Amino acid sequence: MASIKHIVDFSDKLNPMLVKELRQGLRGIGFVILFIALQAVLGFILLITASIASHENAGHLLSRTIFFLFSFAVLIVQPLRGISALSSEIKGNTIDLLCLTRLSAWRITFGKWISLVSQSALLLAAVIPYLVLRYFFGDMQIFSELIFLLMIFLISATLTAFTVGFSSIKTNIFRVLLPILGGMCIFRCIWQIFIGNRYSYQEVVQIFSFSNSSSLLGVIAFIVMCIYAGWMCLHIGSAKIAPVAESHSVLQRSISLLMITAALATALITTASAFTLIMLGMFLAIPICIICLTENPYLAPSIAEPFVRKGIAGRLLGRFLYPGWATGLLFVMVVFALLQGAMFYYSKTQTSLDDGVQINVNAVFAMLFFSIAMTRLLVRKHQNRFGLFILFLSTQFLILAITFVCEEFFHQFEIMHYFCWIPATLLILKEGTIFSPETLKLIAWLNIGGYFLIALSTSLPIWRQISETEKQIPSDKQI
Amino acid sequence: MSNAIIVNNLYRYFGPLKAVDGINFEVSHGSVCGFVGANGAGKTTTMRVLSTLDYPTMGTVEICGINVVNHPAKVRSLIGWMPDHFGNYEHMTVLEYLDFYARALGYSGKERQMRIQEVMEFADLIPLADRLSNKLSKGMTQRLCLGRALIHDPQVLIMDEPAAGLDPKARVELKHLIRILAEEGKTIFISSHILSELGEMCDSLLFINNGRIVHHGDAESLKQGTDGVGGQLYDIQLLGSPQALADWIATNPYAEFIESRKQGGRVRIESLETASRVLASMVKDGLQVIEFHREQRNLEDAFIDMLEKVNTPPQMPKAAATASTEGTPH
Repeated sequence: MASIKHIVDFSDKLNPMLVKELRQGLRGIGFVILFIALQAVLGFILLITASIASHENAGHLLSRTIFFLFSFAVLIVQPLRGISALSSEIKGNTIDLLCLTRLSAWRITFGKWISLVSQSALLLAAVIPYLVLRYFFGDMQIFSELIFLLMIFLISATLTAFTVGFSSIKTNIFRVLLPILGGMCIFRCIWQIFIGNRYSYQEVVQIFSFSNSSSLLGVIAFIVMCIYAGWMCLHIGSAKIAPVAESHSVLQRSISLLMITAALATALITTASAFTLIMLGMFLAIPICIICLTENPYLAPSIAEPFVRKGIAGRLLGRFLYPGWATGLLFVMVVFALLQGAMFYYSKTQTSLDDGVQINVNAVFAMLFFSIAMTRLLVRKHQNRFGLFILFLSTQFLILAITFVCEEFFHQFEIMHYFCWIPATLLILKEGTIFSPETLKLIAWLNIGGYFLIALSTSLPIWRQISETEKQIPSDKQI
Repeated sequence: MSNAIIVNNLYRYFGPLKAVDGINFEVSHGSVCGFVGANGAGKTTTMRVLSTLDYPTMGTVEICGINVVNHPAKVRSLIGWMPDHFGNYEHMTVLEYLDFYARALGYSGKERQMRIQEVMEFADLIPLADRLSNKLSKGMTQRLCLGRALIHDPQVLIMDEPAAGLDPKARVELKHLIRILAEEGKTIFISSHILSELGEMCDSLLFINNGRIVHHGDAESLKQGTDGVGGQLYDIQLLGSPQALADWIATNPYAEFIESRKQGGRVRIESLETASRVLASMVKDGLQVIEFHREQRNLEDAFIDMLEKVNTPPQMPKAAATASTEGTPH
């Protein structure tokens, strides 16, 4: 029998998923066209610019064009290629075959992401020679522009993580429409920065000159946020395709809680305003809260085992960290308590936060609890928890928009306050005069308490299942 | 040593749908077990739970003594899974496809090359090595899928409708490969709609209907009808009018007339003992029996009988029913 040739195009040490994706991706028409088109357009523009090199803005024009084309390629095209990363495997029924190998759900998702990011890195490498040539046109802040280029690459990696992570979601409207709308917004932004207004480009480049300490801190905070957001998005994807015995919630919740605490505690070492830190805390909290409240509540004994072995304290901790929306309810309450504690601390030590911020924070959490309560009350047996949760979240904004438009259209027709039981309305009601800030705070608390209790009461069978699963596992003392 | 597959009180519900409703069965090491059921009976759901791709609502499943929910990674190293349908990757040759799965299963260097060589030889994929994996025929794709499932030399092979959509030649080839694997001592759990082929390949057959196991036994007993399912069919021929047989059966509570034939007809009789009594009664009643032989049912018949039996509400036996009617005052 003839022997087969040994394939040695990629090292054995590389993630197999990366190898597969690169083999496919580098031959794919999408990347090839993008790569060649970018080279062709940049080469053409370089030639044109060279012919007008005596013009005082020729260098700037070339910089902005290079940045615009690179941004278009890596901030729009490359992330959009991630839309079908996991969904194509799910639709083609190949995800099952992947899950049966030694690849964990995380390695599958990470491999998909890193392959797209590697291709973006190739585009970055392809653009750098043009920046070097642009240097000869003069008037270039080479360090700042290179940092800016790397930041664009970082944002691209984060956006790619978003599309790859969300590509595991069944609902097309979120998986496809959201990235496309996002892509349109990004196009508008990059057009504005690089083409629309020559000064905005210079202002952005100026940030990366690190002429003051706050811009350095800002960039560091931004990098940390990008890494966290990217990691979180990839975990969403891997949690969706992971088998039930592979828990992602423990790590996700622990790291998120740590990040939120660290962000809120920054007040102790910096002069950052309370408002900024609360907003930062909210930015970190909302994604993990949504993930927690939409998780599959099935608890495999192998996940509960390490907790049960730690005795009562372990079991108690498990009530917050086990996978599933029921334990997610308690975890979200912990996050909420953390933010409330921080707001209380800031109000004692710094200039107190205005009521609007406190109402906003409470309204956001009430919106989350409202969505889970409605999911549980109205469509309990539906499998697409994430889609339904987002649907109920969006419905609140739809009601808010309808009542707002009605009020604007009929001037004497104030109806929004009748809908104060829909938490999203609190975001607008705080601007009006019908309710005092104190009353609005009370309404927000009532919303939180009410919807939390509704959701908690419907979770009782799950708590019983958790206890039964724990009983199957002998604790250390019993052993 | 415990059995290769142990399913204990397995339930799998999807909301109100009871896909699998409390099934129990065991498959011994080195045997080939056929899994038969109509569409939507719960075959694929059961197979997905066995393969760690889904989880039970209740109950336990063990592969080679390892719980599939608690230790999915260990179970995965023991099983090879062939789904009923799957897509192939674009821009990837057959060799690269197998190379990827070999990498994903933890093989590297020479060992990887050796494993790929072995499965390509076994599944006759070497001539296809440089063909794009998404441009293969259905039969070639199934061979590729079998090759992929065998890369890590699993002890248990779970195959969901492997012969579906194959032409007769590809079906024979696949059957041949499965036979070789069975001879090598692998435990094979296979579902198929082509029951005659299952009968030839399998040591035992599991029938599932509406999420419940309705029969577990070997194909031969099912075909002979000695398993008590649906009774046995007899071809009876008489001298004289064929109507005489139908008339006589109508008065006999232990036999059921199925269809008339040239000189008699087909009759269903519950057991061998009853058949001998029926024959004696026929002779005693003056019927000139020239042929009385037990027919061997094919598996399709057995399967249909099985479904009819489980879907019919429980009734009194014909004899008891007749006796009861006779005793009813008019």
